[in-house]
Amino acid sequence: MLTRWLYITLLAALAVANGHVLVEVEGGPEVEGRHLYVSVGGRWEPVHVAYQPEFIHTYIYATGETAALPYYNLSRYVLIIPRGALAASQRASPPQGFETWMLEVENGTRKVAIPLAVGPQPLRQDNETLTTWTTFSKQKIEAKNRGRFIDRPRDRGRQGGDVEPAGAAVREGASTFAAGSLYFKPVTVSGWFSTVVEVDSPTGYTTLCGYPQMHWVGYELWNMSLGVKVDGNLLNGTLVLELYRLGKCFNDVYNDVYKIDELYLSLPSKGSYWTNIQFSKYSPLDPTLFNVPLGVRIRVSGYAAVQTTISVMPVARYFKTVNSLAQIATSKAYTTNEKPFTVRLPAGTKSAILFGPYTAYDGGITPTSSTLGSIGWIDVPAMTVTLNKLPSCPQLTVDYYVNNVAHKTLSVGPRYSTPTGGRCYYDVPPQTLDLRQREYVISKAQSPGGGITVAIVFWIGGVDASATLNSRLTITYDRWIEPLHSQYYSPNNRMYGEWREILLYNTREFLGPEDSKTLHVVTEIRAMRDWIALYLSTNNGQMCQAQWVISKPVRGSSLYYDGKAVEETWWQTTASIILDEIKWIGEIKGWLAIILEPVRDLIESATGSVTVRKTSDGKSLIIWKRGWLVQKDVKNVTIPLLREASPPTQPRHLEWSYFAVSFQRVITCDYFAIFDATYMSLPSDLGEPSPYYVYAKIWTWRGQTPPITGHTIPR
Amino acid sequence: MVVVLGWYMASVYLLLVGLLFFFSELPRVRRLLCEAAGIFAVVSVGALYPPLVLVAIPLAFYVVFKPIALALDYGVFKDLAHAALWFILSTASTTVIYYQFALSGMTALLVVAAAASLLVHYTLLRVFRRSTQP
Repeated sequence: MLTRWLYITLLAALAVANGHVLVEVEGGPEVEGRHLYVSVGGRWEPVHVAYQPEFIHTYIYATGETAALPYYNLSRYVLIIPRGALAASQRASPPQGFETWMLEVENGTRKVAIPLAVGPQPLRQDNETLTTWTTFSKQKIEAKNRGRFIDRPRDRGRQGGDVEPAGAAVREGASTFAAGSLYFKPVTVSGWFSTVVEVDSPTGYTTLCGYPQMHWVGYELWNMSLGVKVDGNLLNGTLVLELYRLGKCFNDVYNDVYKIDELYLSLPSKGSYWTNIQFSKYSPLDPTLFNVPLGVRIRVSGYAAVQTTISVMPVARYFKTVNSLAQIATSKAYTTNEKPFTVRLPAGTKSAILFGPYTAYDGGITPTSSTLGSIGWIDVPAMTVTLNKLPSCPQLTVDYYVNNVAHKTLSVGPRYSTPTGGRCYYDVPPQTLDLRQREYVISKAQSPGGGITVAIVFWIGGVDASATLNSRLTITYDRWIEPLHSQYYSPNNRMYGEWREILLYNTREFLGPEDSKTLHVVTEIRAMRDWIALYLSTNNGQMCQAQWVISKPVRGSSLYYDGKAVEETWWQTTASIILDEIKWIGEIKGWLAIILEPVRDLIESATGSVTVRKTSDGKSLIIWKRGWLVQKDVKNVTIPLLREASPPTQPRHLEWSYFAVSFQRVITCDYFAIFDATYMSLPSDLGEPSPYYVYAKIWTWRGQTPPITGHTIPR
Repeated sequence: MVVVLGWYMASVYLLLVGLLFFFSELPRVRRLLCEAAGIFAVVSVGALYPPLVLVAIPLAFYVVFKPIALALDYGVFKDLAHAALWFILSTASTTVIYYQFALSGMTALLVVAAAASLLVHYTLLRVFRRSTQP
């Protein structure tokens, strides 16, 4: 409680000290994705936005705990306006590309109308970008002033248009907008400081084209959002974001490395904020700059009276063209309940269940340039809600939140109008919610990598209540898995070698350091027209066997460990020559097969083996065994497989329906994790983990990284 | 792994001998056990020096055909034709059952092979006994 009041007092004090007034708007138009400015003495000054929280007691599905969590409605916010704007009486004409919205501010005694310049891009004045920061306030802000918009053009100039339908079909040749995080380490400062923000690269490669702490951005950048978290207190904090053309060191043979643009942003004194960035000298529509490799460096400076940590979380949005469906994967996460499960809802006027957070894998795509476009969908199953001890059964209101932002409201009638056995029952139908790129990007700007949560809020009016989810909640979204240029997928060559390098690099990046408690496993399938490659990596433990089931016929037996081809020993080759001559014995299932097949398996699997079997439903089962001669831990396994012709009746895309991995215990090779019902990529949750590896996680691709690596690459 | 294969081959050897002498008295039990131990030992040496695993290939033929030769010596099979017929019919019936019921895995194969071989053995013993009776 003390912390809460301290925070509010501090925020109010800072606003006053900085000469700002807080104006609360309820039921206002959405301002997310827009930049608001007011004219003060002839100069434009930024208006910052803080969304007001509503705290609701929430049952957290992942942990079984209950906590009061903040939820936000994007039509309820506090505008932080420079005080001088209230005195301005004349209406200033808005800058080019901006429109005027009239805000009526009432402080209890008088009303003032303030013209706001509102635009989709931030304003630049002299050399500085006038940054408009937005935050999800962690505490309710007590603002003395009430505001309402009395005159604004109705949704004219909306950022990019309407919401796209969920799951818009991804097809070859389609244009798409992919978003992903850039990863920087937090920087801790005190006193006067001016420092470069370090790239978060677990491999240690932080120098690009001779420039230290340069983060690879890649090709086809469309725009960027930037999240900043300040733990401590800053005075006159400034962030400089430098955008570089990488030129000669990345296939751009005619140009040297040079700085395209430099943005100066004033940092908030404390808290977690985000904003959108616009470069003045870089435009994705500029034909001389669109298809060039880019890099980013970030510097921060200012004064910190106490030790302060600054985290910078940029999110890049790209414009990509789908040359092959292999560039797109579908990520899926779901709750682990096989059967219906019942939750006793926490007490309160409103009560919620929260699912997640699930990993927000980079590359979420939408077919529209607007972040309101959908990257996927969330299937919320049908629910049964029971309210106890009510004299009659009223309508039940159910709110759905994605990443704690209000998404949809539903009103559900009772099953019977009068209580049955003292209880009212409600059958809440299943719902499909859009997973919009906006919430996905905001989450990435608030924490490294971001996350996805889904919350269902029930208006239970303080009575004893429970909710039963009848099946799994599922989150499905499409993402761009090829982290570079669309043209890296060449129609002639089918693919460049860099793909493999990138994959190995990325894999190591998110597997993280080796330690004894945490086990991460990555598996990924890369599909080409003629061949596919399976990848499997871990940071810990001895993998001894793995299985994949995919829908297409394949063949192959070659294998790479840590980038090096696994080669047969001379005696394995000798045995192969003999056993191949009598291969027919294995087909005839007699006593000779009973003896010779295990002999063959043992010899072939000495240095590691790949076996491909056809399943009864026409799919391919690929079994990898580490090999009994291999003593050291295998951290990276690569299995290239050639595609065979599949019947024309089969779908063209490749479905990945099963994955299992085993780890070596003392003697046995035990299954650690089994996933079925996957599609191309793995769910982020584990199902029911073996108690042996409680902290294990399954990850897939994450991060935009440069195509350079010191690791040996399979060729 | 190599030791497990040695144990497996020795077990299959004893299983085959037991199967062929199922309807008569088992001879030279101690020697058979010694031979099984020998099979186990020879294969297991591969664990110390992996190239020696190659020995398992000829040994596989020994494990299958030595019991048949023993059964011929001790008159379980009346003649070579009887032995050959048992081998062919048991193999054929096992193959047919295995594929017909779309079985998979070595355990299923072993169970089917043992059951089918025993049935073929019993049937052939009756047929050959009748044909050789005066």
